[in-house]
Amino acid sequence: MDKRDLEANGKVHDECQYSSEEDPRFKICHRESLIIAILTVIFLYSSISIGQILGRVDPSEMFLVMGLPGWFFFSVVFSPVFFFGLVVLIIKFVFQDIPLD
Amino acid sequence: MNYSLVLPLFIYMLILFTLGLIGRKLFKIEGEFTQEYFVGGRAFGGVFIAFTLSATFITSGTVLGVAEVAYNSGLNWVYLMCGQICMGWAVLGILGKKFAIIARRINAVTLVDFIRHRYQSKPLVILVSIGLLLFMGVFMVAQLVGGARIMEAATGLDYHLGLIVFAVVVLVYTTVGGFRAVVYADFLQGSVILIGGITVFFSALRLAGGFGSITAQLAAISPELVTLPGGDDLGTFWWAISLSSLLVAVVVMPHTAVRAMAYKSSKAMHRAIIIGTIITAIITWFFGFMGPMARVLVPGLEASVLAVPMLIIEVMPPIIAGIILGAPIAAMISSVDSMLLVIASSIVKDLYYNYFKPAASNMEIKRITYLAMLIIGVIIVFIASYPPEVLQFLVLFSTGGFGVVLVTPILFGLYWKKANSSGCAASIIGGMLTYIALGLFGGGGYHPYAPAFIVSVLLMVLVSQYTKRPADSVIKVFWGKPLNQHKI
Repeated sequence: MDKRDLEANGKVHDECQYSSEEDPRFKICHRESLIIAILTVIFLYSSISIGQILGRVDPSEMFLVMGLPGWFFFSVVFSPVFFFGLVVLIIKFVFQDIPLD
Repeated sequence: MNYSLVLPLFIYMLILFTLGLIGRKLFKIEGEFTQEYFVGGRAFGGVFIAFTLSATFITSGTVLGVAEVAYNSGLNWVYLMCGQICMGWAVLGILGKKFAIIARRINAVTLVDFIRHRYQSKPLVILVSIGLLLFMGVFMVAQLVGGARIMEAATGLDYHLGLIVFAVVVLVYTTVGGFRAVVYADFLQGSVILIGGITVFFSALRLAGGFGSITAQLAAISPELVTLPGGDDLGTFWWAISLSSLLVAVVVMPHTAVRAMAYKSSKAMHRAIIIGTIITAIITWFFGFMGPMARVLVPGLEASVLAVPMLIIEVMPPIIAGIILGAPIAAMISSVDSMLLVIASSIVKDLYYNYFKPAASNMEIKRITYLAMLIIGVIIVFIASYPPEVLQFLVLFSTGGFGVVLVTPILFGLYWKKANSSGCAASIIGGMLTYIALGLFGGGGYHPYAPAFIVSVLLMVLVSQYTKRPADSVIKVFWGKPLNQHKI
């Protein structure tokens, strides 16, 4: 069994190939993941809160947006679109193109 | 049996079947069998990754299940479920490029590979593998049972016949084509779900007279259907927050996370996030909203799980309805194929290869893989033919179960240097006990995964902090800079 085969199956663990100095790419990775994680938490929290604040109403007094209940529109339709917009901006302007190998 | 509905479905199955056989031709197995078979050589562009990722984590639960509950409880359930739209960006974004880089460094093809290299602890690997096999198996059986039952109810196709047809098709194309065939099939199935969802949504919307008319009719049936907390008091703050915590489990589900190892470049990942979010949002919104729409258009259903199929049959002409009924089945099959691969890789790579026969040759691994796929397929079909009573109960537990077993080992292992095997073990065991105890004895009003998640994070941090730090060799691989940049 040759080395290529072993390596393919994840057996060779060449720690000597890596130094104790930190790979600068990981700094970029850590920052990107952290931004996405925080954004996701804010997205979930704000979508849920919008619904809770606007949604506990009497249907007769409920305001409508495009025929949908207002709370539903802002919490379920608008909020994902808005945060998706932020994600696109983050990918365009913050995310960096780094080699993966 | 309604042939105009069943025939298009069989033709669709035939197409999938052929796709697997074609995939076989395109698929070269040279040297690195497991790399090629289980992650497709990590060579996928953004569009394919986006489709396979969303088709995989969008199960029939999203396509049928959301509408099933929303049919009875109203818009509140759509509100609770729409949080999952963020999975379009969160799976790839949170695991991030670091996960892809590390997977290449250690040649990981499964999540357990990652855990083995990061924590180097045999008991931990066995604990995690067994947990995964159990939850994965439950998931797969549940998907097949659900799919076959729905088809029986909607079209009169015999339950056992449907089950065998779906299982054989999935098994064949997945076994012969591996990850590559699954990705191509997911592309096809993702398109079927998307096109089906869009067509039915807009047809139903027109038939019902627009959103305004739907809202008014729902409010006339019961005000609860259009307000919060709504029917069954489901739409409360704590329900919403605790259900959202479950999403962190979706990030590290083995069949979704393996896709975060398989993109070819960081550009592909950026594109996959954008396209994947759009697909996820459309499918979640449209199929979810079909529940309340069905309440208006096809009222009085006995089994609300038929909300989507009956809506499709109601608003579409027969042959087209048959094609679109393929959408829920596509959602089911596109998840089952990935789960099948993950189970096989877990048995072959994580257990057999590592602990029973490390010297196995490529040829042997290949034979064992095919054999494992076949055996798993037979067992799964057998269990699904006579689903045990306990299944429904296990399904409820399995998403959170994945979360307890995988979230802390993967995320802390990836981003926190001090995370060690004792921390993982404490976190998994403590989290699992909390989860089961609250699931069995806790009061309602929230999902038991949320407290279990908090317990597992606390235990991970505390125990890792006060026990031995991981070996330097591990830290070097997971944080260090490559010494030779031009290594091939």
